Amino acid sequence: VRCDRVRDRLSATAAGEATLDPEELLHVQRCLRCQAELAQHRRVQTSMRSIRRSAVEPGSGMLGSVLAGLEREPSPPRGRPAIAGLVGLAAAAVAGALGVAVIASRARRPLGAHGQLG
Amino acid sequence: VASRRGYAAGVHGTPQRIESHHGGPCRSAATGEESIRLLVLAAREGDRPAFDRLVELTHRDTYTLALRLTGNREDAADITQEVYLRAYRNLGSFRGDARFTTWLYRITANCASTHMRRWRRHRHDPLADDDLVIDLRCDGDPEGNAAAADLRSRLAIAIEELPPKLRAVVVLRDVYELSHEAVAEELGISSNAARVRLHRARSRLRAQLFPDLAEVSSREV
Repeated sequence: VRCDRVRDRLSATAAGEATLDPEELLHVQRCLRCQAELAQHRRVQTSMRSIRRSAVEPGSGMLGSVLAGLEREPSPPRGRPAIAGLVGLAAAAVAGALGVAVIASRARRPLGAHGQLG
Repeated sequence: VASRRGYAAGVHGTPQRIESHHGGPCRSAATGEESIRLLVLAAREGDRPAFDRLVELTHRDTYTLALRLTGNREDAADITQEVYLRAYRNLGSFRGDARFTTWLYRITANCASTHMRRWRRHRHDPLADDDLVIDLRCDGDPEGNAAAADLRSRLAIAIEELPPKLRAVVVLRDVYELSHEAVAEELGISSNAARVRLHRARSRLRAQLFPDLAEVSSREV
């Protein structure tokens, strides 16, 4: 196994998105270069996640501007509780069943004079 | 219905606000998340002050993400405005199976992507010295913190210098921990394209931060 083959997977491995197969793992255990690269990717990953906990202070007027923009908005539709969704689902099921029953009853009607459905 | 006065302290407040509510810089993330969850519930029931409070608590995060994605303060402010309008209009569709902040990140990513495509602007303002960066980490290991801070600072610069397409993917995936699928969906690219860009971005960042290994050739072991 050469470094080239392993290198493409080191960043994903450091991010916990991939695992090295046994051959690749053996290579890393014996290759200082790949060990160093994996360690560097892990440091970058750790640093990435810590960046998120730093916020940049926006301009002083931005919050007011956002809130003023919202003032002009009409009230949005309220979130539907889960029960409302279930009721809707049940209503749709009943309507569907009725539709099937109507189609079935029409299919059972006798044929017309010309052999067509009446 | 919750009242403004009853709302708990937020996610990313100013240092002064943090001191006044919590007596120190180390805040309970769980408390912040629970506060936000309650505010979202109230806002979904039509409590407008609750939504305003959500904006107050999250706007620094939203602005910061927008700035990291666009590299431009004016664009970031425009995007932040748009994010909250969209969030307000679509609050009823927020199911609560993800964190509200994650939902906001996705809206921000989508708005930033749309914004950048629309204007085709590549304006880029590096973080100025007078930009106030609020550090919310707890202190415990001064030497380790100094080294970590140095790496973080260099990483922030390296991220800013990435091409916008690579920057967006790596910021959303590695800094804000959105899934590959969410990143791809909000940026309007395939999941495979997102993975390729992510790999390129990570490789560039590592090579820039640790250039010593770049000259070492590949070998078989």
